[in-house]
Amino acid sequence: MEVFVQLLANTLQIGSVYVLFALGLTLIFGVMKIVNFAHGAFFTAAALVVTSVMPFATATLGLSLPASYLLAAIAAFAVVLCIGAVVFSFGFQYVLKDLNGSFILSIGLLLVLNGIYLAIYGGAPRSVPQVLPDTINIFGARLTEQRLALVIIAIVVTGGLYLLIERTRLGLALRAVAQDQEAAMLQGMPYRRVALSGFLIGAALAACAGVLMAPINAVTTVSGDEFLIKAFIIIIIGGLGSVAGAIVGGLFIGMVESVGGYFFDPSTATLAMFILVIAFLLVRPQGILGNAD
Amino acid sequence: MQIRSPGVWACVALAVAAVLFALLATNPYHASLVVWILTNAVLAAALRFVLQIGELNIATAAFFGVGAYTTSICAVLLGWPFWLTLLLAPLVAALLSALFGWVTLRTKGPYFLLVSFAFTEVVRLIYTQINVIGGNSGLVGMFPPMAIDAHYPAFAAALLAAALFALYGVERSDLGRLFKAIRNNDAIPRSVGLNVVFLKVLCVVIAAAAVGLAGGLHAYANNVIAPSDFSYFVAILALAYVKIGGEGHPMGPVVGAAVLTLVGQRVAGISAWENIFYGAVIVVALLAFPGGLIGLAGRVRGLVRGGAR
Amino acid sequence: MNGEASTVTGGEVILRAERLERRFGGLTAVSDFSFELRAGEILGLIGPNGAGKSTTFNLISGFIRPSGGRLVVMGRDVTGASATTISRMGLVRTFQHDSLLSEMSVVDNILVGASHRQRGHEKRMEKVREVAAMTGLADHLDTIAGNLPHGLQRMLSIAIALAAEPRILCLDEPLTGLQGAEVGAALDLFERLRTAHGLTILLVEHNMRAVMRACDRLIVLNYGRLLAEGSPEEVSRNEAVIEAYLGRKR
Repeated sequence: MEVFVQLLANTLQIGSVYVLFALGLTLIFGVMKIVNFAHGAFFTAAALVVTSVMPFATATLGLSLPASYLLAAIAAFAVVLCIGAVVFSFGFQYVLKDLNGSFILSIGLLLVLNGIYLAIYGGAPRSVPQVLPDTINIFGARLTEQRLALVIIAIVVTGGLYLLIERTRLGLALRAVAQDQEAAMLQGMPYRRVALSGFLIGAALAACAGVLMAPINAVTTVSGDEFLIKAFIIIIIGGLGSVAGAIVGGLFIGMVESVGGYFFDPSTATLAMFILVIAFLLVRPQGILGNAD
Repeated sequence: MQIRSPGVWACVALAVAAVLFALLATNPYHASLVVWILTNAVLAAALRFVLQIGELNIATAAFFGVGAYTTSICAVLLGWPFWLTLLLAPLVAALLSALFGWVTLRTKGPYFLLVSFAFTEVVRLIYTQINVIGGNSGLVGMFPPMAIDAHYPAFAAALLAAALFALYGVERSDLGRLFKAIRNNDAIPRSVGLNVVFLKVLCVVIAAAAVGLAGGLHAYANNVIAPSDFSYFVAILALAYVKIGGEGHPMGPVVGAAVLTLVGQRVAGISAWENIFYGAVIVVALLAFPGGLIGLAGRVRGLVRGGAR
Repeated sequence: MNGEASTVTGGEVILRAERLERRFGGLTAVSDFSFELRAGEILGLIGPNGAGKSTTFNLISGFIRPSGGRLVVMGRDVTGASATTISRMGLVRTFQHDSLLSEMSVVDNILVGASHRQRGHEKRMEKVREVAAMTGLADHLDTIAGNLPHGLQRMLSIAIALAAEPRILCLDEPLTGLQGAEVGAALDLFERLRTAHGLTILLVEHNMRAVMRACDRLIVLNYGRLLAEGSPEEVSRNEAVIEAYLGRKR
């Protein structure tokens, strides 16, 4: 029982970060038909900003820990949205729907951004204190409040995104564009603006994951890239462009990793994931919830 | 846009010159630089070879590693003869790529790209998990036999150049036309009785054999290999070579590899600036010079000719 | 040839569709559709837009799999076989849209068509020249297919199929967008293919006058079902056809 609850808790906390990360990636793919290799750079930027703003806010401004975290989070979102707007305006908008071209561009951007982070922050891991350091017990499983908060926030954000996509005009535009760009244009939706919105929402989701993970794991200039391969596996399984697929896939991969990591070791878990992906491809080349083509 | 086929004899002359340079260079660093450039050129040409069918194959990096590990395992752990170890590198890489292709080429576009990326990282992970092959630290002690040791760079350069010509030869053949047909509109080859999946696998296998050989040669050139040498980043750099040289032309990968490898020597070691440099090159090449250096040269030549008239 | 040939060639059945059915999700595109194609005839498949002609074409050429029914080509059951297999048996199709390799030269287009049957570059080139001469493309061999005038693009898509040496040629709206003289030339080519080369042709076409002139027999599809079948005269007099098809145009 204890093991089960512990594994469930681990699944949720690993999975919720994966879900946020993969949601952004899949949303950007759906709207722009590009695979954004630089998605991890949004995560990294957010986490790095938190690690520099938080100490400044507590030490120089004398704010309390939660207040300085909040300030850091706001700064992180601002920085990531700026980066997102810049790379969209000066890059991605010229290669919309060009799969290979946009992929190559995103690789170039990833290298540039990682280089800049490295030049600014250096290679040493950086960490910030946990805002909620206490540990709680649920059915014998131990979980820090920080991680519990992460799970709850991730659920709220995911729910919010779902509502945004299903219930708002912007969401309708995003769905229309994802399904058929030409039809959407005929309806008078400005494709470029919808694409930019989708791109920025995707970036914000990565930033959210970065802000949430900063107090939990030490941050390096390549932190975000470590999520990239997992996120790729998730969206292969879930289907590119599928929001529900990213959620199911993220939780599933979180489970494989926490269960596999508990009984075996992390590398075995990653191998298991890959074998699962191969099995998936053999049966359903378009992912669980993806549409053919 | 169809670019005129390059003067094949000029390329042969260039290859011979490269081999002679590697043979006669008094500075071993210069000789090894030739091998390094040609290795990168083969990686880039192989990546471009699979782009013929419209797919971006990140696993090019994985098959480079498979070649290098095959040769190294056979040489260091099994003590097999040099020629055999070198022959096995492309064979094993080709065999593994056939399996890989058979499963993954049912997908295309973004899915294939992502799967080839995941495959590359997983293969690298597998190396780190096996203690016999040195885990994270890899293998050391691959040396060419005494007889050719002194001239190894020239030997490797000759084989790498041969691999480049082989890829070019296939591209120009009827088979190469079928690859391009698949990229252009795969319903047409299917409608006239061609097995498109088989052809796609064949394309990936041919490219993998070339990089497998390059991997085997790299193992002997470097004397030491480690899993981290074969991350997806190898394919990313190869992509940068293709883009900067010009994707539309068979010489593009070679030009790109030569230019970037030489310029890269200046920024190597300063990791932050190396990243920014390569990244900026990719971004600028993609957005400003879609035809790469060769496309640019063609345009300049066109302008000069237009002016002369 | 024209409608007089309605006595119908007595050739053996070369293709038989039995109760073919294809559903897409909840939508049934083709159902309970049976027909026969006899060796040496030109059979027209007609019907209003959305009647299921394209789906039928995709079904018999193996580009999509039937949800039900059977398909027999030259005595062999090929239900569910791949497009590659069916094409290798001698049933080759053309396409209504994207019917050629637009970025490649005319030579390369036809060469791709000849690739499976002919071994060796020289034999393939021989085939290319033969087919190009037949389709009026001999003077355009080095042109990029996408730059050809429309009429020649249509001919090129037929040339690609011919290079694969079909016994059954399935043409999907080959006359769309052709000018008057071009239509005549195309119909003459079909007739020559049948008489001189022994081909059997299945023709989907909107140009009614051309269909009436070229085909020995017609089958009419409406709402995914067989509506009528017979000689062009019989079909053009059929009340149900007039109502469903011709009637709608008035």
